Amino acid sequence: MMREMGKRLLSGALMSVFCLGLTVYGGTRPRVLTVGFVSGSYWNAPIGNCYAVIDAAIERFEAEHPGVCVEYTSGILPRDYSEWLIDQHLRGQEPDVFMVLPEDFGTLYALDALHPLDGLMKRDGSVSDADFYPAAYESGAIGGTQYALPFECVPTLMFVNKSLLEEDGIKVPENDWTWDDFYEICAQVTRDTDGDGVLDQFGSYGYSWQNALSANGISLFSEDGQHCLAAEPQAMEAVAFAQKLGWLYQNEEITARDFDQGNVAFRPFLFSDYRTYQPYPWRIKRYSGFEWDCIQMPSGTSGGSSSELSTMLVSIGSRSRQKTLAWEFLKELTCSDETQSMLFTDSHGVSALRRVTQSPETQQVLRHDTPGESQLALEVLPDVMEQAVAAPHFQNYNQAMLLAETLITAAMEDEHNLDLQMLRVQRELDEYLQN
Amino acid sequence: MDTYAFLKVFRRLMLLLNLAICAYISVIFVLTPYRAARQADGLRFARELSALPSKPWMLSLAAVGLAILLFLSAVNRYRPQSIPSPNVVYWLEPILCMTVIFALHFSYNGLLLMVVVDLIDSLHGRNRAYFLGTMTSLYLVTSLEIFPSQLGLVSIAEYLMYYDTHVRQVMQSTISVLSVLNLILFVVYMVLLVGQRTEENSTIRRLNSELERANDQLSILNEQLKAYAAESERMAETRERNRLAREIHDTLGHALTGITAGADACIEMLEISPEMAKKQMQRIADTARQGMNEVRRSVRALRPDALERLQLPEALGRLCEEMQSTSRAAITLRINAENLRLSPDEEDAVYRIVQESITNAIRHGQATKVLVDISSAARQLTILIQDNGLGCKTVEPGFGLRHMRERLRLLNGSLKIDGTNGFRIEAKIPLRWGDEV
Repeated sequence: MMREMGKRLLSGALMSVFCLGLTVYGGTRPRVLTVGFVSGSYWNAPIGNCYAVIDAAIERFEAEHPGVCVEYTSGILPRDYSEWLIDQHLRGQEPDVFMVLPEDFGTLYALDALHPLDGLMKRDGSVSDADFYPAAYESGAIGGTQYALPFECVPTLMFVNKSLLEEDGIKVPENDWTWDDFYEICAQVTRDTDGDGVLDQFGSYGYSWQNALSANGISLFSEDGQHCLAAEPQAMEAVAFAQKLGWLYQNEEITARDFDQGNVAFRPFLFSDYRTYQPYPWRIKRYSGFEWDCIQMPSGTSGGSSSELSTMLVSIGSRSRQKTLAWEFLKELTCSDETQSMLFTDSHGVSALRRVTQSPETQQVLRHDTPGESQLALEVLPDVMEQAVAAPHFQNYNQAMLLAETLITAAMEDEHNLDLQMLRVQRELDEYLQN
Repeated sequence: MDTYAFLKVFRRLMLLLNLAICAYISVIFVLTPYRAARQADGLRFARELSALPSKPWMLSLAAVGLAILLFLSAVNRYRPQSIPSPNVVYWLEPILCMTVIFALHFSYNGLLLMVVVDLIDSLHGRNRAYFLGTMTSLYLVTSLEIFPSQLGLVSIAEYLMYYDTHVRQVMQSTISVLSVLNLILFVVYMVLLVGQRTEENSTIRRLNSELERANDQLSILNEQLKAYAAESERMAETRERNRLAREIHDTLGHALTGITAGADACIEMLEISPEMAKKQMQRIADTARQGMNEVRRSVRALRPDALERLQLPEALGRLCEEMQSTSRAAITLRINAENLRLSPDEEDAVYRIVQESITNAIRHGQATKVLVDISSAARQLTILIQDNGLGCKTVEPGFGLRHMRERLRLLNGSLKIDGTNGFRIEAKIPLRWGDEV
């Protein structure tokens, strides 16, 4: 009896010593937080040092959290990032905190790879949804649950060839312009200038039915990815507008070259491109023959002047073993004024934080980068961000979108029965989504 | 080859088969994600999955679990019969089995059948019923398709979706064929086991009926034996009666004959010579006394009547009562040994010693108080008779005392006599082993 007791005591003591040893060992070892980060701009804008923002964030974070070491793998280009991230997941070596490209969000959500942030946000208390622009914030949510917070956004603006408009005696449109204004100007400038019988000056380049849908305040798919909304009146209207615009150009193939040479008046333009090409020396290098600026997208008949917002997200891995620490770092990336304001100095995106984007310092930075007269985009930036819409995200969004592109492009070729065609498109897409 | 050997072979086959299936599934689970990742095909693979595939260490959990399972099964099977295995072993095996199934994402639950085959033999009664019930429900639960998806586990089918149709079909059929083979082995094993059990049962029944027959014969023999015993008892009685008759004839008959003859002669002589008649009468008296002695001797040789009918303590009680009623002495009898199981000769000895001692005390010592104390201790029976009579300085052993000593010597006992303070007799008889209280 006594011997058994002794044995038990001994084994208990050994266990405690082992646990104590583990604790001490774990305590002395630095905690490592891994991060998945994209090298370079997701929007293909050339950036000087793409790690400047995250390196600064890591430095601040490590200073605030002694004993914590943040590591990331460098050199993963945006085009490889999706594959890299999923491969890390497959190998069970995914980072604790990682960037999520807009197109991967649905896939990662479907795989349960993202940790819901609602609980962490509630417990933390210092982060509120009101801090962010709605579209940016919503792009990290599915089914009412927040799975990611926006790191960097890029809205779409309308590029205006001011020189071309001036030649025709047309004023640069105001920011609250509509489809009607847009169409009118396009019709006016589209013509054959050299008289060879072929159109060589065009109203717009690249304004697609997708842009029209956003402008009319509707999305092609329902939020849950179960239904296609192509036959909704607003959608039909948008596609009809795109079709009407297309007819202006009489089947002429407009190319990027036409645009670069200054023969196109309007082109939807990413804000990151604007930030890249607006400052000196890029401005002269790329578009040397004309003056240009960016304004808001035209609004459709039943929508505001909303454009689709492209948002780079940050998430916490659902299998991360240090979620609290991961949340702290995620907060450092997405909610800290220091990190977010660096987006304007060291990157070409827009911060999703209202207080950062609208701060005088940011305005100062933007103004400093842009030459005197073209400041339209800077003034409208807050409005564009407020009015932007987030694309729905579900697992097969990209494939569905590809299919929709083919189907709708084909449908737009039918000159008389667009409504009927759109119904057919909706049926086919519904079938695809529900399988 | 007998059924036992067959069963053993089947068990081993099943073990190997399950090992192969688990290894096969594990390999698919481990290699598919790595292959997809290495070929930069992870996105395509991941899109087919319903959830994040588990980390590769889950598979090592399966491997370790399986290894322990096999070890346990071997221990269970080859442990010496003398060591009773604790119940824990019986529950550890199913628990480990479930761990392996979990680690393999519920893709294969045939392991449960292997565990049943492994343990069914060594469980009995209620335990077996519990065990089978548990295993059946586990099998049903693990067969449910919704179960793994609810737990966020990716099934093997989703992994296989990654491969080309042809490869997928080959892989899928391999798993199905092996699983079905496992099932077939299980069914055959069970059939064999039931067959073996039935055979055993019928053997037991046959042996039982043989035993019953033998039992009947035995009881007949027993009756015969009883009759024989009764017969021999009767014969002993007759023999005893004959002996008594002989004794009476030899002693009383002889004396009475002498007395009768002497008395007849005396009658004749009385008138002729009274002197001669007187002499004759003296002779008759001698003969009668001698006859009396003879009778005494033979009666003494017989067993005391009281002992014949009563237990020793009752017999002694009766004896003391009778002696007390015919004399004026107060006799106290103390027996500190209950349930004495003495042999007849020992009982005789005790009875005679007490009888003789009391008689002596009353007759020679003229005692008024006699204490008889019988006690047993340390495998020794002590008889102590103490009186308050005259006693005597030197003891001259008479017939009675000599006789006592002789009886005790036959029983390896001893006798102590002391006449200084009243008369005290202490007799000790060693008791035999097994006859103790």
